[in-house]
Amino acid sequence: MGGAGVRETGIRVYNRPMEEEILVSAASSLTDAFREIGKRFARENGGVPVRFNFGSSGALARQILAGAPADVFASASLQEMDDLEKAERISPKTKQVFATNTLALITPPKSSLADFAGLKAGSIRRVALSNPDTVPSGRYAREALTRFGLWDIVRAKAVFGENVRQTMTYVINGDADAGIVFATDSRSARSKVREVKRTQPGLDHKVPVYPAAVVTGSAKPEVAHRFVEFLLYQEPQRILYELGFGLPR
Amino acid sequence: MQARPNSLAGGIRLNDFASAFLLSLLVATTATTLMLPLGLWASYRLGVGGPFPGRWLVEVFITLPLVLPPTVVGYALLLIFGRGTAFGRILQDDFGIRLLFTWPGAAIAAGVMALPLFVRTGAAALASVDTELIEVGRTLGASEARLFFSVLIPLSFRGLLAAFTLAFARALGEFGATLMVAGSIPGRTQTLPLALYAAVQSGDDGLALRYALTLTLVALVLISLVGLWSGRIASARGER
Repeated sequence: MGGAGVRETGIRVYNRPMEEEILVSAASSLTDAFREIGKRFARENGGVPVRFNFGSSGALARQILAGAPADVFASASLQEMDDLEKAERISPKTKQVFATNTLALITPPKSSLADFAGLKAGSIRRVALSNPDTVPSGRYAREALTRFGLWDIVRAKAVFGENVRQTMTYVINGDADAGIVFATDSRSARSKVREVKRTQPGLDHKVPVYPAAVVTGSAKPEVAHRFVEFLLYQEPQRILYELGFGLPR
Repeated sequence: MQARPNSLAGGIRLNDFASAFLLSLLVATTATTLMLPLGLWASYRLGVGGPFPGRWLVEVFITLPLVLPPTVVGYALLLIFGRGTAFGRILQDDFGIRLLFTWPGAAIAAGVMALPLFVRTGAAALASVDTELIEVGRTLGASEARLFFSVLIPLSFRGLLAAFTLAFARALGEFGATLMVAGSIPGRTQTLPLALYAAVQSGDDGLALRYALTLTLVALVLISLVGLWSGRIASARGER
């Protein structure tokens, strides 16, 4: 690409995406599913490109609170969505729950850990958790571990990831002896980690529910709303189901 | 029509790597251009301006970003440009200028961080100009502005170029302040260093390695240029 091309890009970086594409800020656990769904959405909507900003729901919510130019927010928990609703940063009319999840205890492939209680053992030196203050999967994990009476012990061994994918990376690389992530993340890395056990959502912790909504002040509210509604269509729901998500009804 | 998930360059389909690379160049170029007038002024006052009231204050403020953790600078900019302050609200509501989570915001953050590197090298380059030449110009009646643009800048051009290149390299590699001001939004504000961090976080080692190698390669080229330019100054001075 020549110099002129770069300069032209410079102008377009600023203008074009604002006009043409929508930016979806989505929980990291949705990474694989949304990449796939984004492609379908673009195909069925005259090529509207969907750009994703994946991160922890807490960090994304703070960005949107501070005025980040997102069009859609898809959270791994109702809490962050409620925070944005109270601050009038999302449109409540467009809010829609489109998936559910559960947690999984994972270890590197060569481990003999048998259940959550095994986390107490001295051989488990480091446990990867998501930061419970900003990452929903960490919050659910804290809730479950507290219920199991393990939180104080596990907290002393915890290394905290800033989003669920980072938490999983600690386990994949063997830097942590065990970790708690969403069951869908465990499934997506099943060749690299061993899944020990799943939690029972609703019993061990609140059901991880995924809501999506249009962000207030979106430059493309119609397209953004279409994306939120699209999540409940048959094809996206099938994609979510195949990746291990629970369906809203 | 085809889906273009990464439409940074309009019709050209770009992957994450290319969009992060081009965005980095854009941010670093804008950053260094933005800081250049202030950088030249400060280099002049500190390099050849002699003592003036409040000199230490200028020196301290210009050098501060070099010593402070970038996150402090980022947080300061966040406070200044965010909706939390009157200034930020006026900027947004009355002028419609949104800087947080935009690439111009990233450029401002990188520019602030690059300024001290420019001034330190730039002031030294201007100070190396023979003072006799300046005196001769002055006795011939040239204005300070004329002296600056017709004597000082041409005579220290390579040194200033080295300063500019160092500042550009710093802007290109800026991470902390940029992250706080601009977030790390792929295709919009995710520059190479931020993309590298995101790739490591998500365990994509192949991509992380490509980012790291690219940044290293660019840094090597820039440092070589700086060495070439400042080396020639040294040898030119040695011949005298």
